[in-house]
Amino acid sequence: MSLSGALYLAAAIFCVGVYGVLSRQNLLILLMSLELLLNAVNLAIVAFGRSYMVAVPDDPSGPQVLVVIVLAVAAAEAAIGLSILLAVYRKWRSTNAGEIDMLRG
Amino acid sequence: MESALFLVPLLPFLGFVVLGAAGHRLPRSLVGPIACAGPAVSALLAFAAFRDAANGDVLSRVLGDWIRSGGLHVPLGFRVDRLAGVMLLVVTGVGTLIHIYSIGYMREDPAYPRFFAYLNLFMAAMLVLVLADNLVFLFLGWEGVGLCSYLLIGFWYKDLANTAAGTKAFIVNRIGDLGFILGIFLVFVTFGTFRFDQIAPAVPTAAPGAITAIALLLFVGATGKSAQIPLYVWLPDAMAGPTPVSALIHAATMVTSGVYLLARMSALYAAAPAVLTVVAAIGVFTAVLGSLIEITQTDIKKVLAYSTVSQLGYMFFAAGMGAFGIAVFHLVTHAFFKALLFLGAGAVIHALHHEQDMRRMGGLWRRIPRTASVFIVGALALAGFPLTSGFFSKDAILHEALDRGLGHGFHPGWFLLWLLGFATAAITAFYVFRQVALVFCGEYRGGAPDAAHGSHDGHGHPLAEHEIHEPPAVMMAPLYILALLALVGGFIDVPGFLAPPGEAHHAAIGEAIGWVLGGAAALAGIAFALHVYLKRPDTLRRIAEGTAWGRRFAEASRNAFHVDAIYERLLVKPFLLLCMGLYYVIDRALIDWFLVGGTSLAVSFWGGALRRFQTGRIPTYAAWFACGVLVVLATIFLAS
Repeated sequence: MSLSGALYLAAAIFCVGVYGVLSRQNLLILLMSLELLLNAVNLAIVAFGRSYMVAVPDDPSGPQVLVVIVLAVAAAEAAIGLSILLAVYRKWRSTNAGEIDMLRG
Repeated sequence: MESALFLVPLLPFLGFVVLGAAGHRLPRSLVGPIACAGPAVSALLAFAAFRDAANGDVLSRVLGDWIRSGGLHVPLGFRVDRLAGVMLLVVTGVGTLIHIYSIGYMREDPAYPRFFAYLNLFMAAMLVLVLADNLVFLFLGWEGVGLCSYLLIGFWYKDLANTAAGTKAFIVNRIGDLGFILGIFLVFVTFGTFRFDQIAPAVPTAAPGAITAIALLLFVGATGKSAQIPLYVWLPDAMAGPTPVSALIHAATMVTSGVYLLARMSALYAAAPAVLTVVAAIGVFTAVLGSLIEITQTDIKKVLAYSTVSQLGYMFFAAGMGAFGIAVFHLVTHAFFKALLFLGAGAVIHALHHEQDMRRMGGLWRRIPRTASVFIVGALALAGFPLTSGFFSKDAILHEALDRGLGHGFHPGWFLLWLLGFATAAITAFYVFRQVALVFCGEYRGGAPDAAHGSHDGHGHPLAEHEIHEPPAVMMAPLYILALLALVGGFIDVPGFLAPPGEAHHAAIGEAIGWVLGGAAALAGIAFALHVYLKRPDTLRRIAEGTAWGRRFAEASRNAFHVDAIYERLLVKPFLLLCMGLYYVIDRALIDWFLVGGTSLAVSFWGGALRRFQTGRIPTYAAWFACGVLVVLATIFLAS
């Protein structure tokens, strides 16, 4: 798979994620869309990393480390996001993002 | 003695501090003695200083710097020469007597300590004015006495008319003070110093134009403080204050400080003959105007107030002839007899429980003979009855004027001024004995309440004749002393004492002629007043109501020639209109509406607009976030 092909795929996934974040009302779908965004970025990084390693084979420090960090952050984010989701559901008995306007100062 | 000079104003000031800070906690019986102690000790010190200065020495003491900034140097200096010595004696002597009198007069007043605190502060400021060795320090006292005048005119501040009178006095004085301040500036520009002992020798070397301007500007200040045309209108209203205040501040001391200022700067005025002529003319016209208004006044204090205006006019007349010694002579005798008259009037008012309308008096001679006799002594002195104090001082002025008019060839201007002054002397005698006749002679008219003129609110019912009593001894004693001074004060040769050494005055017209003329004017006025008011009470009414000019004159005189109304229309109304205009255009429209209102309007508009962005819903925020990202990306792409 060429670099450009991977990047196009990553962009497509990212767009799907953005569309999901902007259009969906369900908090669960929103979280999943966020995961899509993160993983689209991961895919782009992996693709760049691979082409970099082809160009400079002897460099031990790879961009792959960055992907692992992003994955860890994504896992933490998912855990917090899901627990917030659970708390929201207990309070409002709903996971519809449009009904919850608590983020007003 | 020199080192103790600063104590003279300091002692009354300490009295002010004590009474002002703790007066209401002290027992009432202590307040009066504390208040009198400062001026009394000051009077003793003043006498010691006077004795030293009488030899011709000049006592002076500089305590330190008040202001030192570049070339500007204002020392905190005290100075006593003969002129200041005379003023010191008058101020502390009459002041102490009036303090003592006030103990009795103000006894019933709830604000007793406040009154004495103000009175002490006034004494301190007045003594600073007299003792200052430079113009700026003098100005401090000048403003201090103005402040006390304001505070004491509005002493009974619960009555709006009193505070209005105080404000009027303050504002009118400010107008004069503007001239004074400009004069002080010009003095500094011209001479580079404020000290009297440095200004006087420098006068011959200064530009005549500057001298004239300074003299004129300082005179403007003097017209304000000393109630001369055109700024005299505050003094009659100042009678709203307690009577001892009228006696001390608005008759004996403060209002004469304009005369003192001119005498202090006599070296400068001697070099500005044109200004002196203006001073003399203003003085005479004020004297005439005051005396014409007095004739028809019915308030016992208003008569004396206009009389003060008129007598101050005489002093300026004398000063305008360059006869500063005679001006101060009249100042001294006037302080004696006018303080006596005011305090006597105060005793009458006190006996009648705050009745001031002479139409409701009469026949008081029978009830309060001692008050009546001292009042008549004062009236005789004011009228210029031969051998009383006013006789000598007023005739010295008129004699000087006659000498100028006729003594060295005929000078029509000076002769006219003399004629006006002479006529005023006769009118003075007439109006003061009109007052005596109305108050003390005839039948008592105050007993029955009448519908036309109710007694003043809060002062009880009209008194029956048998309820009228002499004032207490604490009020009578100062009256006796002042009566003695008013009788014999004229034998003190103040002009000779103050004349520069070696300068003999040669009058072409003998003094005896002046005395005969003055005495005749006084006697004629007195006799006419007693005749028309006691023997033929309807004569004047026939003139005042029967003839057209009589009616017109009586009406105009009663209303003080409508000067207040003219000022109201020419100055006060336009000024208020201007203020209203500025208020509506600047305050209301520009500041309140445009700046303040506009700011709040803009904030609330933008707040309302931006509020829509904060929905609290995650999808909206996410959408805006995405938009923001797009904008950032677009910026980056467009920039690269």
